[in-house]
Amino acid sequence: MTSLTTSKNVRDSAALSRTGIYSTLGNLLSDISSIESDNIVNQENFHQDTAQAFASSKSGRVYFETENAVITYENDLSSIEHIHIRCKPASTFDRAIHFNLSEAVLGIYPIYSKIKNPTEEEYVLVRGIDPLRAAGSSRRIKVGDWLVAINGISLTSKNFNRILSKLNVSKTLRLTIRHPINYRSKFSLSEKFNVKPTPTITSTTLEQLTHDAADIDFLHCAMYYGRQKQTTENDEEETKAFELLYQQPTQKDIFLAANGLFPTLIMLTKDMNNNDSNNLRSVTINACEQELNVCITSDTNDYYLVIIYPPLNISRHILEYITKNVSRLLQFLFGSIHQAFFPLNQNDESVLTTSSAVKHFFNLLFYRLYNMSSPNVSPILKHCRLSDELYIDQFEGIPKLLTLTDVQLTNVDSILNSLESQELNECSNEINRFRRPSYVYGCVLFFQSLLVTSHLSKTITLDIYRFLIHYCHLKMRELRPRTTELLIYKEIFLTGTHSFLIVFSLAEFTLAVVVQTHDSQSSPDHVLINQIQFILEEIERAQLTSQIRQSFVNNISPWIISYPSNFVKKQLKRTISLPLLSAFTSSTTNVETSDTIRNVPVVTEEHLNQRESSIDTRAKQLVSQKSGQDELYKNRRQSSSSTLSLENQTNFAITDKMPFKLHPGENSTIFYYLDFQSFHGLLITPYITLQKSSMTDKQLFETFQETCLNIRLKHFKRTKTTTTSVVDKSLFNTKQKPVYNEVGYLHVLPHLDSKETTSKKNLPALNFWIVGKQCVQESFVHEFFVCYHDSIDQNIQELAFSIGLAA
Amino acid sequence: MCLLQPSSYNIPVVYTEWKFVLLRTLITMIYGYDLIDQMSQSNIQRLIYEFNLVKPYVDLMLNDKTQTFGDLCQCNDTICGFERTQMFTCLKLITDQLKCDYVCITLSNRIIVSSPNWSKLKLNEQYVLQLLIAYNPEFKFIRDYAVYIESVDRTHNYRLITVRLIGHLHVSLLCSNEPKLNVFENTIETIFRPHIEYIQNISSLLYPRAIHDSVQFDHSILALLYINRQTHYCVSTLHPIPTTVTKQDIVEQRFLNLKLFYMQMISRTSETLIPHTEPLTTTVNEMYMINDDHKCYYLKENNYELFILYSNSIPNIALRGISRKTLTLLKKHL
Repeated sequence: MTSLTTSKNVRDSAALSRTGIYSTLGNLLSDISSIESDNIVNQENFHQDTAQAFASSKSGRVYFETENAVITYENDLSSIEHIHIRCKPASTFDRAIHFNLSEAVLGIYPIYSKIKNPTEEEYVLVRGIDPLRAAGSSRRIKVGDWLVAINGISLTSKNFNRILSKLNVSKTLRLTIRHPINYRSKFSLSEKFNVKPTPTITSTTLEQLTHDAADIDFLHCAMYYGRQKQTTENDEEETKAFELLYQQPTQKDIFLAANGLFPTLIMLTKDMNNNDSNNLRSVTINACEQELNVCITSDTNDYYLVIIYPPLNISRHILEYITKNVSRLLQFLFGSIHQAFFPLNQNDESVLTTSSAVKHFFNLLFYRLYNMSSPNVSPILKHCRLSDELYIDQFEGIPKLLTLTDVQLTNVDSILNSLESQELNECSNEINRFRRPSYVYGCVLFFQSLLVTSHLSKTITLDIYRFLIHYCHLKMRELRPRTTELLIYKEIFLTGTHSFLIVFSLAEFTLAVVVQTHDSQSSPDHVLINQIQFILEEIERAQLTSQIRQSFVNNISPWIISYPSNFVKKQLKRTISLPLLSAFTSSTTNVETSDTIRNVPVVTEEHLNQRESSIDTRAKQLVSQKSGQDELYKNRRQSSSSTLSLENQTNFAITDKMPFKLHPGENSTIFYYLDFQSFHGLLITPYITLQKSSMTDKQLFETFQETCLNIRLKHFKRTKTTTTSVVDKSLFNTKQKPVYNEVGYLHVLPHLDSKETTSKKNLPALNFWIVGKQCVQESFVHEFFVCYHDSIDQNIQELAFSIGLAA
Repeated sequence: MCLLQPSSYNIPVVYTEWKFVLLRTLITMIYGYDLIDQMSQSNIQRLIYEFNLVKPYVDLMLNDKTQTFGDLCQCNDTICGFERTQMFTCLKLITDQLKCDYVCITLSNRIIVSSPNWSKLKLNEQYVLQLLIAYNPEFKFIRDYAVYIESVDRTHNYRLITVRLIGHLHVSLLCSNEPKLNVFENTIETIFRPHIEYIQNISSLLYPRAIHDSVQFDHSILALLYINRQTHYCVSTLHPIPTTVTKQDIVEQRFLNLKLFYMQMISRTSETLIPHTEPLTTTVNEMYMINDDHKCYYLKENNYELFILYSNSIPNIALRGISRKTLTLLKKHL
């Protein structure tokens, strides 16, 4: 996105030059040619429409007001320009990737706006341009331009899509546009300085697409209750009643369900107040012949946020996790849950703004939950399902780290540092020679939804990440990589400071900047926004995108191999597992999160190019013994296997992209193990049972995922362990339940793939264990999960655990 | 209607729903179907009287004071490990002499033997009847209850006559006007007098262990629950070692741990945490949990399920083998 200001300045100066005069003449000539070639009647209509628009304005100028800016156009021909671009046929519109027809056909993102003295007509303005399309590459259409006509037919919001839908072939169109003379961004506070800021786009696509949550068929509600207290005779406080302060959506049957909550509420709030460490509870209620899960949270003891979740077969534990995130997000965005519903500045405008923001917040939450099961959802928004946050590697809301080389990371860091040290530079605004009222506190950079680097604390980084995930901005990056836009400009609430969050995105990068101001009256100005945009463009110019993409190597085998050297114990004994482990000492492959496995992490490059350690050497020595090699050649059925002698394995380059196969053997059947702390894992599979994209694989991994989550949530989540038999009379007492530090499940999976069922032999079902262990080492809790075949020896399992817990 | 389910307790929905079914069965059995409204308008005293009658049983149910698992696994509690031929003979005699098809002999709230018609009653009805039989707040020797049984005829009530033989051993009858109470009492005495030693044996050997002393378990087993899903019977014991006497609070803790283990298993198999694109076809056949205090093992073979609570002394590697042996042993008896 180029700066309108800059281009206008250039154009202004160019208009006076010879080139400028000729250009204007040329445009006039093309106007004349269009009169000859097009329908004269249409041309007259075009002029008439324009005349009407001008007639409505007082001073001969036309004003449009959009959600981001007020744009002024002059009513003379000098601002009119005709541009010929090649359009695409309307059939290229794909609901999965395009939001509107204009984006597909012209490469222009439109916005409809009425003239400031309102008429009934809405005109088409340019909100954004796809830089890779003809409209973008011509560089003559800018954001903020008024799209007056196509082939002489004047455009309004009513006929725009109709005209575009009639374009069945790719052909050259003549666009008539009018450039603005003034673009005043609503973000700018420097009106008095008369500075023209860069036009910006905010992402309203999500708002446009997200249905009002009341349209969702399932019962759901967010309510906010206040507790009315009274003092008893013993000078104790007790709850007198609950007052419903906020409800969304206001459905009658929800209200009936809410009534059923009251006895539960009283008991729950009493328990929450007595047990301060946990301000979150969940219950299941039976209302309207459905079982609804309800979560109640509070950050004070007087107000409670109650969320009734739609009955979508999601466990209550997951909903508790979601509610915790909601509470955290509300505190991040509004300061506290109470301020989300009742802002401190009680003027009408702020109340309206905040209530619509809260409404949109909960609409998004319910819509994303609903999105999981509805078949009629937009294919774009399917990517924003809340369930995607629940995969193991995302479960704690921690973004996956994108690993760059040291050089790349240094480059990025230095670019970001140049932004953060702005306050030490001179102010670019000459008029204001005082210190800038706002300064950059820190930045976070994302590539798609991977974290590149963060110059903020972990808490703030996670808050920003969850916020961007909740509003689907990071997910949208993966789908709409080519637009540049200012996504967010918002006040946020970090303790003790007056802060703003500004989020910019360009291509697949998203930069979130936290800006702090010295007093509560000032806020970041357009100059800072321009600088952030410039920094992001710098990062994009550093050509990181192509380098990052190269690091995602396509691996034919769906199985990911990582950290081979970490898996070898220091004191190796001659065990059957040795061939299994040593097979990977030469692994040099990069890692890709393929579609078949979503929960395998990205490997850091530093591990891939490790020199062979003494442990690896020792392993090789042991395995080079003949008896060790026997295990590799045990099963003769795999005649087509690519079994290699150890020597060949050492020289084998995985980047040759051949699948690397193992002999199954009875003992080399550990499937996977996962360390929640570091999100590292190893996958070893006998290729005879697990082949690429088979149903068995899918069921295996999904079962593994489900079981690990189950064990984690129901057993390992509690940090305080107690096995006492103290019986507390409270119904909600958490102390009664014993806590287990090792849990295992034996699963039986019948063979599902069609090839296997047509086989004459009855293939036995797959029996596999999933075991999770938790231990405390140096006051740090470690969790580890192993999935292994039932036939495995005990020592292999113990080996996996001891390796994993020691790593 | 609200189902109160504290999130930290992890009670599966299936279990709570069944509890409500049992409560509803209890209330309608005592009050009759559709009669509560009539009673509240015509005979308040009777309503209050019968509320008081029902209260202790409601308390028993909701607070799990029975220390049995029939309500948890939706099966009939029974006992095992002994020869029932003599008991069947006595049952046949009662049925023939009193001309009644609904007869049952119970030890506490566990069925020893029952007539075919009695076993065809619904599971919830059987459970509530056994509760009414076993728990006698007034310590009467012989009782005569009016109850409504939906699966037989809900329009009029039946008589539940129950007599305590010895200890916790009861003989119960479900009948209409006949037989009279004294006839019933005399018949029972006539039939059981020759078998007095046998009855005494049963009462002492099978209570509270619920499994005959001849069935010996591994010494590290603290409690177990064995379920036959085909016949809907279950056997449980909190005193697996016959010679040891365990304190009541320890017994209660074992009951609680085993119950939680069962509920954990149910919630694992019946609930999914995250929605999957296709339903999972895996089944869980074995499961174990270990902590510093005790170990739990679950084993399933076709229609047989076994939940065992072990002490910490057993090595992990032995859990599976001992559990399998215990299951094989119990399958012979039930």
